[in-house]
Amino acid sequence: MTAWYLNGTRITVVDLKEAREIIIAKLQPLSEGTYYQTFGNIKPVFTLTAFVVGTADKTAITNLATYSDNGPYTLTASGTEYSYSADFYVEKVDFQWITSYAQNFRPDKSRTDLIFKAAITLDAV
Amino acid sequence: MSRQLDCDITTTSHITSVTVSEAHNQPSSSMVINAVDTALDMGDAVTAYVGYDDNKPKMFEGWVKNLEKKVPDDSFIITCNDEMVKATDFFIASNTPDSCYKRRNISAEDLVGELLEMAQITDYTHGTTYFTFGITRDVEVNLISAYDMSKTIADILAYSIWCDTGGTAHFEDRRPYVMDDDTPYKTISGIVNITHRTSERDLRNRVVVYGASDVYAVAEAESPYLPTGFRKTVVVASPWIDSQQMAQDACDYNLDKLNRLTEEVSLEIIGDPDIHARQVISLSDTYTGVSGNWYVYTCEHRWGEGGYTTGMELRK
Repeated sequence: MTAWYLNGTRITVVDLKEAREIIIAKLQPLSEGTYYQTFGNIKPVFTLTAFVVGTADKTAITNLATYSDNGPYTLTASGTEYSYSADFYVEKVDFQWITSYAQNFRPDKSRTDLIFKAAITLDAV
Repeated sequence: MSRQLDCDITTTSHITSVTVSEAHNQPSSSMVINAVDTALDMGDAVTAYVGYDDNKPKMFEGWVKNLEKKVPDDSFIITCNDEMVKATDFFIASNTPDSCYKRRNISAEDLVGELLEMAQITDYTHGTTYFTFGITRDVEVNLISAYDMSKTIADILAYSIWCDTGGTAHFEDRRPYVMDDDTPYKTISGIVNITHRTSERDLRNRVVVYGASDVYAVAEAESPYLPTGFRKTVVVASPWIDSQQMAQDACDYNLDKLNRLTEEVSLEIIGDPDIHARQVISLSDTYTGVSGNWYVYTCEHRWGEGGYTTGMELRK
């Protein structure tokens, strides 16, 4: 089981999308084919879907997206099947409260803690 | 063809655009940078390597002259000028009117060298002018900038003064057209747009020089582009011309430089970081029919999210 942390807060990642975006300028000479010139950010943008347990962790994640200059933050994954670490700015966070009677994502927390499904967009430094 | 734009500028990152402007008739080349992060401050030295990830030569070396921070964009606009800006900024003013800078029997190139050195420009190369100032009386220099004085001397001799991308000052016989011994630096390709025009706007077929007292000279010639006997006149007036031979030489040099039709091509090409003003390039265009060797009179590199293009004004 891979353990994911965003700025030290444990999250349970269930989906991860990596995207790259660049600007492509197209220039058309009079007597030649089109020239393509690529420009701009070629660093990855990560979109995570993760479960966050408890209101304290939810607040901790929410605060990462409060001010754009309060970063970057480190996303780490450690486990036997996958390990990763990189710095990101938290661009967007969406939380959805999941109705539950008991949680077992985090054995170190109360079984009755609230569960939130978070969509987090991370922009690489 | 696809290429990745790339640039490195001293202590500056997240660069969104760079514009470098050079011109034969411009005292100093300039560079304007738009960037999100910079540690540059007023008076800092700047070196810029601009182009593509596989060809990014040094395009500019100079000094920060203006710094703007834009909010809420949180971005910077940094304006820089090359080494020659020191000469335009350095105003020569003696402590007392009687103790001004004076020289006697000094060659034009040494005089320019000393003026530039006053402005802390020491990396200097020059042609041999065979012109000596201060033969019969002192050359006195006061209440003028080092560049303006050097440019005055250059104009008398039909010379040019400029700084190259490496920061070296030049004082040389570089006319604003293709000279006999010029060889083209490269052949232009990737033309995006082109305009060809001819004009007699800058043509002068009569040059009058007024020097020190009783020193004056005239040179004139017919122009095939003007009515017979018609003269367009330019005057060079300088108290530092103190011999009849100097006056006549100044007339002849400037008549040779100015008595010609201006044939110009304005064009924009896919960005080429190796092209600079004062180079001679070769051109062959089937749309306007222009071809042959051309002098790069102005050159502007525009690099940013709209792509990288080089705009030029060329002269025959």
